[in-house]
Amino acid sequence: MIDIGLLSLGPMRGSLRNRRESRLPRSLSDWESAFVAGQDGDRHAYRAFLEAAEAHLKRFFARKAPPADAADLVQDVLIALHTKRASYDPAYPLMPWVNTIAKYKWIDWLRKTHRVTHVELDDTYGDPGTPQQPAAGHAVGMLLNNLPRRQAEAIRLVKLQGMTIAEASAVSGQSESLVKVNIHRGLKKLSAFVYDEGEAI
Amino acid sequence: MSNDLLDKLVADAAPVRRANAVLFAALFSGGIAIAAASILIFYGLRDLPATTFGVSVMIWKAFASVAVAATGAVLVYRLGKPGRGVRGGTDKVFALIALLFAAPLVIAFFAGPESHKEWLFNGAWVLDCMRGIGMATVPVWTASVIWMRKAAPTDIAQASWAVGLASAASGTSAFVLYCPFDSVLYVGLWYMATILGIACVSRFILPGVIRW
Repeated sequence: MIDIGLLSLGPMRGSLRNRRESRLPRSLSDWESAFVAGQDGDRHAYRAFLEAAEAHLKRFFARKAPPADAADLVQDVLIALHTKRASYDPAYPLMPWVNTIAKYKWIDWLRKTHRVTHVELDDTYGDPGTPQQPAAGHAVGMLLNNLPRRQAEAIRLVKLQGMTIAEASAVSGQSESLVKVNIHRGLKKLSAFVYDEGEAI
Repeated sequence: MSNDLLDKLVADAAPVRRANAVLFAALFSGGIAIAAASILIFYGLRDLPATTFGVSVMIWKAFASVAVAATGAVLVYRLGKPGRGVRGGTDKVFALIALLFAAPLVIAFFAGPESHKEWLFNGAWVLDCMRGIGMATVPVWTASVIWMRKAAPTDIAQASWAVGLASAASGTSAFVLYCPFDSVLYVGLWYMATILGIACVSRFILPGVIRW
């Protein structure tokens, strides 16, 4: 709780009970009063509003973004609230506006961070005939160790050794449809694995 | 982390002038004035219709356009304010368009003389009308966008529809000053299509323009 003389700004919490409480006129008017005073140039009240808003926004972004990005998002929203503070009309509730700005900042962040280029694995990748293969083939072999044996075997036979589905079926003892399914599932897992590793880096 | 930022924001907290209804009225009416002036400059003022029926149609199309524009303008103002008090606001504007443009169109199509149906697809004039309405829409749309950027909208989708509908209907109202066609079929179909088309364009453009 942040006390500023008669004002007592309670941060909004996520539980249903507190969400109900936050809709009470008393609580809303505290936030609004501090912000409106800030619009009129009262720096003391404005700081109290910003601190309360910062705490609210930290909770808002806590489960929506990694900590470093969440901190950036909180700052972005605080700056947006500040630069656009003239646009707020005290006759209307403040929190829908604050939350809308936070929501759209989060959407912008999602768009930015999830713009990932997907590159198809080409059929010659891992082919021992190509000059750069020793390292690449070794890397693929390491990746295949993360897959179940039958999926790794299907990929190794068809995608690395260049066998047909029928030949791979005869060699591995899996049915042709099972070879196809195992290749599909294995490549999907490999792709997810590579993506997760990249994210971790 | 944020303490430095908070210090800077607090230090910069000079008193501000709030966006209010006077600002909106000035922007929107300014946009309409530019729209009307551009129609008069580039197209000219139409003559009064020679028949009573022509006068009736002219009054109807002016009333319908202004009614949709006024309803849309109120909605644009309200959607620039935070909160959820305008749920279904754009539905009412769409309903008004159906009542004032679509209903007369349908009645005229089925109850009117067969010979009038040739007015429906008058290609060259249709493009001319759409161009004129589009030109008159631009200043009102720009004024509405400036309002939205200065205001505090929370429902961007509704705001985008409302801005498109209000500005297109305002542009149409300005175009009535020139439009020489006094056919219920022609006006009902092409005015409505242009207003709805512009509203769709606004729906897709505006969210990218409103940024905090």
